[in-house]
Amino acid sequence: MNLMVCTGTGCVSNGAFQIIDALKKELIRHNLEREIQIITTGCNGFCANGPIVVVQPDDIFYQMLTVKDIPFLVEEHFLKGRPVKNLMYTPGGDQTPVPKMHDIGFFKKQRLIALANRGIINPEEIDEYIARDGYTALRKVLADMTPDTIIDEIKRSGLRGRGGGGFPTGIKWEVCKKAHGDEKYIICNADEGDPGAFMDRSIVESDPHSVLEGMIIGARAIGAKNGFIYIRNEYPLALRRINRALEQARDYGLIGENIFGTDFCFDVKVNRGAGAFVCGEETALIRSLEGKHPQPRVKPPFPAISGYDGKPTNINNVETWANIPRIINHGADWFSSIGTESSKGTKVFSLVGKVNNTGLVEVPMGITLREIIFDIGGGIKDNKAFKAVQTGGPSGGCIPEDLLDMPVDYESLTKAGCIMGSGGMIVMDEDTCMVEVARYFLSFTQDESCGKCTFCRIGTKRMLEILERITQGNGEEGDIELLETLAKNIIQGSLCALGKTAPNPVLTTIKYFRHEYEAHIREKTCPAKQCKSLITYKIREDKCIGCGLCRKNCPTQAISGEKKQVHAIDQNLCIKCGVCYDSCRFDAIEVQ
Amino acid sequence: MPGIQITLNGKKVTADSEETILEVARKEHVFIPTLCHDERLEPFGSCRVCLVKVNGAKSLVPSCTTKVTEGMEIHTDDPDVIEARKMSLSLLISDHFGDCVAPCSLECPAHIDIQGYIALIGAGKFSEAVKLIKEKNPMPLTIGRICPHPCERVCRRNKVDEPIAINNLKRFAADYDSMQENHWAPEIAPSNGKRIAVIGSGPAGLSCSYYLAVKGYDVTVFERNPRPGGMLRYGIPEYRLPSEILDREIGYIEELGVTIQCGEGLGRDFTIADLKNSGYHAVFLGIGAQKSINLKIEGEEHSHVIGGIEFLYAHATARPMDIKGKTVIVTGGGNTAMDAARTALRLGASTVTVLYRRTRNEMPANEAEIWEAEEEGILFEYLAAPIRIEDAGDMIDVECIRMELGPPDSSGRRRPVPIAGSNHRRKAHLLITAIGQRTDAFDIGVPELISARDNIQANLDTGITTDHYIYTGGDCVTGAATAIEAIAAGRKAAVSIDLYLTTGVQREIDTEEFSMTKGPLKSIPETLFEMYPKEKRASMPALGAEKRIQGFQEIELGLSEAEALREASRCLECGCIERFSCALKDHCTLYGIDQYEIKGEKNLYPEHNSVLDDHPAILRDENKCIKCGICVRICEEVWGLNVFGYHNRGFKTEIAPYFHLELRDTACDFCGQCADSCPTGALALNSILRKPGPFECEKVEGNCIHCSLVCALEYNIYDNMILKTTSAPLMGENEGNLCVRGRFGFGYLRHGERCVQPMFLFDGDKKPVELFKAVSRAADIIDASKKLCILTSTQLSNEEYRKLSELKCAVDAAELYHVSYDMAEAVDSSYPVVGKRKAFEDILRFIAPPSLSEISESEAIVLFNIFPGRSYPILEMNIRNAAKRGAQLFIINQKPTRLDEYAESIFRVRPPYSSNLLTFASSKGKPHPGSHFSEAHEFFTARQVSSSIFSDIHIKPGKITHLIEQIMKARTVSFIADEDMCTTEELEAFIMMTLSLNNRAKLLLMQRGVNPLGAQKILREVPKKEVIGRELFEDYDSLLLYKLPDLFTHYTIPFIHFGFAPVSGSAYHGVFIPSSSLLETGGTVYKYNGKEVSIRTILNSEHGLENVATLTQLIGQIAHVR
Repeated sequence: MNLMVCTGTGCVSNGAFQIIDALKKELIRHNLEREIQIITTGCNGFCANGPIVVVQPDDIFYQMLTVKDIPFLVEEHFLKGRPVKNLMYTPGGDQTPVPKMHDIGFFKKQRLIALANRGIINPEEIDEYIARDGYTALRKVLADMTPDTIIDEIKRSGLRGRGGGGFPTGIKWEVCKKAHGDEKYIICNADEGDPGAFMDRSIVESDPHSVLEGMIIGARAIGAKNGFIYIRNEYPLALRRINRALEQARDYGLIGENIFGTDFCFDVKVNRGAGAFVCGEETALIRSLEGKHPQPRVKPPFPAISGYDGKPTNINNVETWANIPRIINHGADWFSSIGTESSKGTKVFSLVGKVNNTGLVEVPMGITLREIIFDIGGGIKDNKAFKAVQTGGPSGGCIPEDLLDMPVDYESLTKAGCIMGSGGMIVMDEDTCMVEVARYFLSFTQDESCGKCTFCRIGTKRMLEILERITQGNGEEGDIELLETLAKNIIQGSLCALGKTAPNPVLTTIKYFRHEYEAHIREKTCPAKQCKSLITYKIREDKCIGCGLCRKNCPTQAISGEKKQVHAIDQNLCIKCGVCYDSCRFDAIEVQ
Repeated sequence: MPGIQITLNGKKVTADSEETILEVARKEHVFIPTLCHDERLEPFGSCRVCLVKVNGAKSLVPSCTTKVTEGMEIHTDDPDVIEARKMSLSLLISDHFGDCVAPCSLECPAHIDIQGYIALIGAGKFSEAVKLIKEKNPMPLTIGRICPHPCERVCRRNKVDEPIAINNLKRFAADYDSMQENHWAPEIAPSNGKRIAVIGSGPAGLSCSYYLAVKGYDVTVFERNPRPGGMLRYGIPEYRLPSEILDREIGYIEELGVTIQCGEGLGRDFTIADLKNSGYHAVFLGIGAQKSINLKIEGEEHSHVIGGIEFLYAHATARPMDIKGKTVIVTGGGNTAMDAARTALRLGASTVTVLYRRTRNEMPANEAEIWEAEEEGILFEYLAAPIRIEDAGDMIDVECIRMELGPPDSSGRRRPVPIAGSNHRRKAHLLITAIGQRTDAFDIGVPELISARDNIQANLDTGITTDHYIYTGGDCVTGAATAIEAIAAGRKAAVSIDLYLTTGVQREIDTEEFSMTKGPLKSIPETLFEMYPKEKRASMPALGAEKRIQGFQEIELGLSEAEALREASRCLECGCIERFSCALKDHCTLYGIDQYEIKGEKNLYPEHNSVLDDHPAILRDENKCIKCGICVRICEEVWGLNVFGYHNRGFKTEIAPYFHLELRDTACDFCGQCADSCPTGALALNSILRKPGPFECEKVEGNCIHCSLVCALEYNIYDNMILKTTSAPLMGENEGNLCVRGRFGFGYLRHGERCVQPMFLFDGDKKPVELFKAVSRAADIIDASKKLCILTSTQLSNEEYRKLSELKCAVDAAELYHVSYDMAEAVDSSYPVVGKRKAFEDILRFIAPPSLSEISESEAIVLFNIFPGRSYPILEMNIRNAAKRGAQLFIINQKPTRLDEYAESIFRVRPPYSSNLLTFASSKGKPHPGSHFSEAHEFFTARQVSSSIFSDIHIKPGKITHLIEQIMKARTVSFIADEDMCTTEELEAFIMMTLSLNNRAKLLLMQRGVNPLGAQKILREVPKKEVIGRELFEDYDSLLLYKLPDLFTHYTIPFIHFGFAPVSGSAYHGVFIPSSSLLETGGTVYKYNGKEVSIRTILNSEHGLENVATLTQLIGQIAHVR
């Protein structure tokens, strides 16, 4: 029996290592340490429910474990053979726990390619990767394929860049291969910067060798001798694991001089980024690698022609690289049989927000948003109504309910005013103010603008100021139109994709939720009752029993009232923090 | 790859595939605005104003970075493009903080360049200030006395302490100029044969006449009254504007050829039809508003009631009313009321009371006028107005009513409301009504032009009426207003008349020039002014109250020169120094940008709340920075330094010197490239004037005259002063780049900086003499000397050398020394003009010097004994560019240079090792057999140098072998040395190394001065034995180290010094003759590469200075005659 303990960042921060210690102790206590093996794995993706332990081969899924649970768990399940029901996953609103991992809705509909090894291997042991066909693709490439046939295979697979742009990977490689230059470079973009997204981090944490193998294959195809992994310094675990993977691969002769004894040489350096969103833009990333001020530059020339140090450079993101070995192993036809006409394979999404099951999911292209949110995500939390889903991170757009049956692929998302992006997916319920959402996302991109070009530097700032005004109740007639004009020109005129996509949340929320903007501007009300300047908290006389809890909790002493008498809020003192609302047990506080 | 086809705005164009859209468009004369682009730099694409539409592209593309491709269809004027450009500009402006034009000038009805004339006053250029004023206001003597100066109300100095005394400064300059023998007068265009009739000789008519006369019109002014001046004469009392001053100023206008016919009234003595019949091409009506408005109260027609204007008119026409000892009431609160009241007082009235229906705060009269009137004893009664007048025998009974202030009316002042039952009576001998004036135009025969409010109807901006024969302006159009408004209107009409009569086109209202403002005075935070120390405003000396009420003597006495200079220095220079050369402003004007269209927070640097004073030559104002990065890039990419960098990111991006150092503390080289290429006023070249102006300069293309690279540049000339030098990208061999000397090295030509006084110099004394005496003394020296030393500046033309050569023939031994203008006080860096290369002339004929572009394209470069960064920075730039492109750079120098970091290898050697090193290298060369090289080579290889010498100087033999191999291998090599830094032996060895190592090598020997080759080619060599100091020093080379003062100490050799400032020293005996600059006389010089070029005359020699050629000839003639 194997206990697969997730040690992704999510579970680790929830105490996965303490769980391992406790398990070890208990197993020893029951003399089970020889029969039951503890295996640390990479991220399962079901991060909100960690720490997670999966018991194999029975596929029993335990979640939200605490150290306290462990003695009972070990005794009941491993000694007495009675799986513990109350440590299993129970779908929202349901009473029956689901014992087996692959019966859980969250996992059932997923299709794992990039994340094929997640939760299965120990990411810190190269042998485990090799045991699961690791580096066979590389061997195949070196033994049986030429650079041209590699590129042909990737082209036929239909793989498109997973970093956001969706550019066909094979074509990108081909351009770089054909580019003139004695030195060429490969870069892995692991500068994942979208708030709330952690696809790339998770891949690096759970299966770092797949990324390395992809890069080595890419280097072989393009003719590069050196590569870089540009990874944020805020990802310490990922950083540790990629470095460890590099060390082990180098020890095994899989990277460095004369790989597999051939004359093919390729080495990789890890470069830590300081966490600037714009460094996800390839030309800015390259400048940062070169030690310069990370400002994007105008393309063309594309990095494939003139990249790092002016040399042809191929840059792909983590998820793209991780797909490569699988494509080589299983063939282009296999890969292209998954997905839609123009979007092949799978996509990893970071599903967060107001859904019951949050986490990392890998789904075949063409799946509908409804399936992701309601089947995998288990529906909206607290039985609230769905309002919108934001795809593509802060530069993406908000999709309303009537588009939920839209298939998830590059073209459909773009048509709806969104982008695939790197895979952020944030679900919002009825309590979300869409103007505030737009303001929030824009405040992120605005803050992360590098400041080089006029439209992004000043344009997004002006849009943000208007949105701030609107949410504060100071919107004016004409603001929506001005936002639209600004957005149009920022999209038309910005230098890089950061600026060109920054207005998306604003434009899509105006497109699908224009009435909310109008309510803020004309009626000075926030329909979702979220914008502090536009709401008032009131105490309902019919419900208040005068318990005094709200009065005690109010930080500004804005609530007064005698015991057992109806209380009242002094609006001049109220700072709209909502503490009274949260603390009232009688639903006597209402928001207007 | 030439010859691809594209479509540009629908037109088929052939282009080169390496060209960008912008380059093609410029070639095709299609305008595309840019801000972040500079031809010298890699395209950047940050400003986004050069966006164009390319069919098929997903979004607009920046034309500066996008290369053309076959079949590309480009649209530069698509509505989307225009919208995006406007948006980009509006966004930039929304984060821009500055005043393009100073608020004073914007507020002035005539838009006089106030900041400009204050700067000129501050520089002591008073007549020049008058010239600038008269571009907009031809009557500064008058206006300088009477203007209510709205400019001072908006003066930003109000936020510090008190406004600048703008009007008093104007008066000072005008007074000063009119006291000069030759007061400033405009140039008059040749007569164009067209005649204009101006009706009325008030400020509007006089102004119109002035500007028309300047344009060459024949102007006749018809004045109804006996004397000219209109309201200036008949409405303003003499104690404010003495008639002598007015007469003088009108006289200046008459001097321009304007005829003034007094006593001729339109409608009384002639009609417009008469004017047409007598051949006038146009008429300007400037008849003013000269009738007092009636009170419209009962009894007003009483003979003891008189209008203010009529009262003043009677006095001015010497028909004053007898009011001695009488009681006078004046009603009204404007300047006319004050004038009437104070005149009445001066005429002997016992009491004068001013009744005003509002309070003192609302009074429209100038504060000073009210205050002075109070001081003189005039009584004021506020919130009172007459409502009825009754006869009371000798006197009248004036029934008044009290008022209280109600809500504000359309003028923004609170409306007076009568208090019922507050009627009261007062007795007076005379009631003067001064509540306003109106136009009296009914009898001039143009009823169709008269409006419902009795004014003449016309366009206020052009003076055009519905009758295109008739133009008008001033009070008769606006109703009673200020004189400066009338002057502005007269000028506008003159422009319209001129345009119509020369082109037949009626003038439209001018497109409004975009002018950013920091906002109204009250909206600007006080903190922005905290840095300025408080300084008292210059107070106007004036007569005391007792003295002044005794007559009509002018009260204000005018500022003293010292006070005026001090007052001018208080000016905060609000207007942007780049006002006349700001690309952002120009684009905003072109696209009609409204500063307030897009609003928002500005990324301000409150700690840098004004122009930063952290560099002597460059002014920085970060609040005007548009983050185009040109400064960052030009410093790095072109100049090889990294003075500027980006700080922060996003909206908070700031461009500042590294580590936020003060600019002067950085590695800045003072090339000024950043400031010259800055598209806004964020970086600007500091003015040579104490106050920067700015001034609209004439850009004259010329050449720098500081070294033999003679870089191309643009002299920015204002009033015969070089205010700055700029350059257009890519102009000349220097490709628009300039070094510190080309940029800032012209101050010595300025008045006051330069000695224009001939002198005798002896035993440390200087004795000013007349030029003739100096020249005679020079002739004496020549006649008496066997030996002679001639000192000159380093800037001599071939023509001057030719004459000097003749002079040198006159004595047995003459040596010519260059003395830099800035070395006049310390002559220790002087150089004999004829260099050492004279000895190698024959060989040198076979080696061509490289051009700058050949240097930057060289595969290898050898530098020897040269510090190009210090002596020839533009040369350094080309060498660095070559190294960046991959050229191998070898440096053989005694001390480090700035190019060391680019060098393949560096040899630190001193003589004699240096020449050994070079000779050794030469001996390893294999010149092409049979060529002239081989002969020389043989000569040199004969002098075998053992390689063991290198152990003495710790050079590894491999290093020198590498040098030799690389040079022999390179397809193009440039050998460069500073001749002035080499010994003869070194020079010889270096030349031989060039000859023997590479047949394709080129050799450049730099020397100080603009024209060393001219000296070389023209001056006869002095036989070596006769070189002065020969016997003192062992060889010619030692003479290099020879300090000029020593020369004079050891030998009492007399000298003749031509230059910009005399040398000084106790042992000197000679004569200093100031000479003109090459920029004043022009001439030809030989460039570094031997090409002869003409240096263009840029300035007039205003001090009557002659060039050295003329002076020499003069000396020669005198010497010869004897």
